[in-house]
Amino acid sequence: MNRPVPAGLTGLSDFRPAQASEPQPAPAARAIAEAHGFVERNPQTIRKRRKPTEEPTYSFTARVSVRSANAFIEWCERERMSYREGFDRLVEKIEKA
Amino acid sequence: MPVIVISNPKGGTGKSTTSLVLATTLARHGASVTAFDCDPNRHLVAWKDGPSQSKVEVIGHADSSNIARMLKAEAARQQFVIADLEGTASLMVASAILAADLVIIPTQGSAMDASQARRAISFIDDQAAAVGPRPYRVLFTRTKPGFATRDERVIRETLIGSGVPLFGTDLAERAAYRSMFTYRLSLEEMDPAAVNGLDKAVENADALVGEVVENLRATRQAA
Repeated sequence: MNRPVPAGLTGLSDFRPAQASEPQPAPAARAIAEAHGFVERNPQTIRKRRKPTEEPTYSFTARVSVRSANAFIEWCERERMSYREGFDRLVEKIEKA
Repeated sequence: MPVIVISNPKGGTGKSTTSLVLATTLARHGASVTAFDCDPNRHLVAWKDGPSQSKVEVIGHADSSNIARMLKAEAARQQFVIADLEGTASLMVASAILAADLVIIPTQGSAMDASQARRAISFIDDQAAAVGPRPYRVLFTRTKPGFATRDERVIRETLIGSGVPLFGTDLAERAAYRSMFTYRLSLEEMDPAAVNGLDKAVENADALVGEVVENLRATRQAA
């Protein structure tokens, strides 16, 4: 069926791809956007190195020998684990004994 | 070349439908078109994955840091660029609006839609001093041909009274527009026997897009 075409659509060749100017950064533009509540939807957050744990934790303080403390710290460094992970592994040994 | 962005910070106002109707209608009339899908729901990307043979290209990977640059790059390659923006007030939306040659603000005849439309308008007007004016126009969507609710009439009158430019053509509530997403086809690819009111939907789409194009020409001549 022949359907009448609106005058505006009978020829679109006057619309051509064109090199537009590089969008100019406008520092004020961002401030105005934020003032109107246009905010970053997924703001970048700093990555935290400490791995979260699902178990409740307790801050354990003990006076130990320097010899034992150094051995524990060096062992954690060699194994690339946190003190909490190191302590958990020691406790596992107790449970297996 | 023109970059047309479809924006309303409120979700569900018909942005994706407007974008798809605009893009596929322009393509049907022989234009080269890229549509940016900036909606997290990715309706246009999903549409493009379907069986449509429409020549509309769809880009779905843009963020607030690169959207303006990507829109301009496509404008250098295609006759028309259309951006379906997300239904939130985000910096990506703000950046895309600033890169636009025309901002279409779809709204239904509801106070919530109109309120968020005003938010977009207020932002565009405030930005005019910093980066220059951006032409915009409100488009009523999901209207019933020949019938306007009282809410819709009041909202129209209020917008007109405030000097807000409106399109003379609405994008009416039509089964065919929903079917475009269901079957992932453009209007001209669908079977009139399977889709009610297809002819009227095509006529409505042509009238709206004709008005958009004339609007762009008038803006270009005024510049």
